[in-house]
Amino acid sequence: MEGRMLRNSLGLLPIMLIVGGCAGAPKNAEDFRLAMRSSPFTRTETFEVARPFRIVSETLQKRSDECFNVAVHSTATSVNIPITRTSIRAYKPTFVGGAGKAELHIQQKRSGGGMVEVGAPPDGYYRVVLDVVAIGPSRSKIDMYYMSPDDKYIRDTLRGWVTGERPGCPDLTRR
Amino acid sequence: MNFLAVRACLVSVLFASGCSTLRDYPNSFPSNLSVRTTTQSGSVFTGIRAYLHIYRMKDACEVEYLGTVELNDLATSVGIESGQPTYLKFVFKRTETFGGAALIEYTTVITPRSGVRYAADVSYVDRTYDVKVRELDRNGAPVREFRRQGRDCPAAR
Repeated sequence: MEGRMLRNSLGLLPIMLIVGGCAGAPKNAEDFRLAMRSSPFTRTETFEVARPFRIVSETLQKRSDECFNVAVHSTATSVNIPITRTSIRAYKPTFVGGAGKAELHIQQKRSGGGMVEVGAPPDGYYRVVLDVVAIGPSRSKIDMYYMSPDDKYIRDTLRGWVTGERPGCPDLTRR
Repeated sequence: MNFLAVRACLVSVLFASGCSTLRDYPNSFPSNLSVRTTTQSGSVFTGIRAYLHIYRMKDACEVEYLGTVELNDLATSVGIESGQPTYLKFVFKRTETFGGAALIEYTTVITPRSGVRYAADVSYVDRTYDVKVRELDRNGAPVREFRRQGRDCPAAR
């Protein structure tokens, strides 16, 4: 009896751990920053650009609205079994601007194809949060927080925007 | 939130070829849009092609497909009817050597003014794309830029 109860308990343990981890997903940008600073498996970047804060802020606001208000629809059909699955990755940019400081949050929500995201905020998990502050008339400081190396394309895009080197949109169909 | 105003679509691995409803754009109006295109995939295993699909807008949502212009890495001249709201859909088609394809769309709406010229700079370089559609003055300098814009359709129930 005791052995059976122990086996049953151990079977539930992975499920409990998964749910516990997902339920702890950052619910807002500040929680995300704190989580990224404290976790050894994630990334933060800090750098400065020789560009006025106003220019950087306007670029982030304009480009994020153009490039990240998108939904990527993926369709996959198996060769052997005639089943087609469609999944969607919807991105949501949130720009918060103020005097001398601005923020950009990028969230991603996945749905379809039998996928259920447990514990995610309503608009999806935070993928990247970028803060920019003015540190001089022609200089700005950038702090970037990102969830995973998989977000390299997003990070590279934002870096291209704030430096002015690459103003285009990322091809979000590529991972 | 109109966050679905812009969409990018990833096409099935078993992308069906040979079944196309596309047709060449007649290009019967005087040329007033010059399109300059640059495509570099960034990988020998990836191909990029660019297209411009042109639609006549009947209202804020409904459009009539007029035809397609294949864009190459040169300048392409297109004639669009003056005074007619026109939905321009720039599409980058990415194909992978080992299977898979994707379509990346950029749409905007312009209503060309008579006697005015327009220019579009279209690029896909190493996983980054950009489209700029501008109105030009008599000297060819840009005076206005058209923003990325989708159709304003009621949300599907």
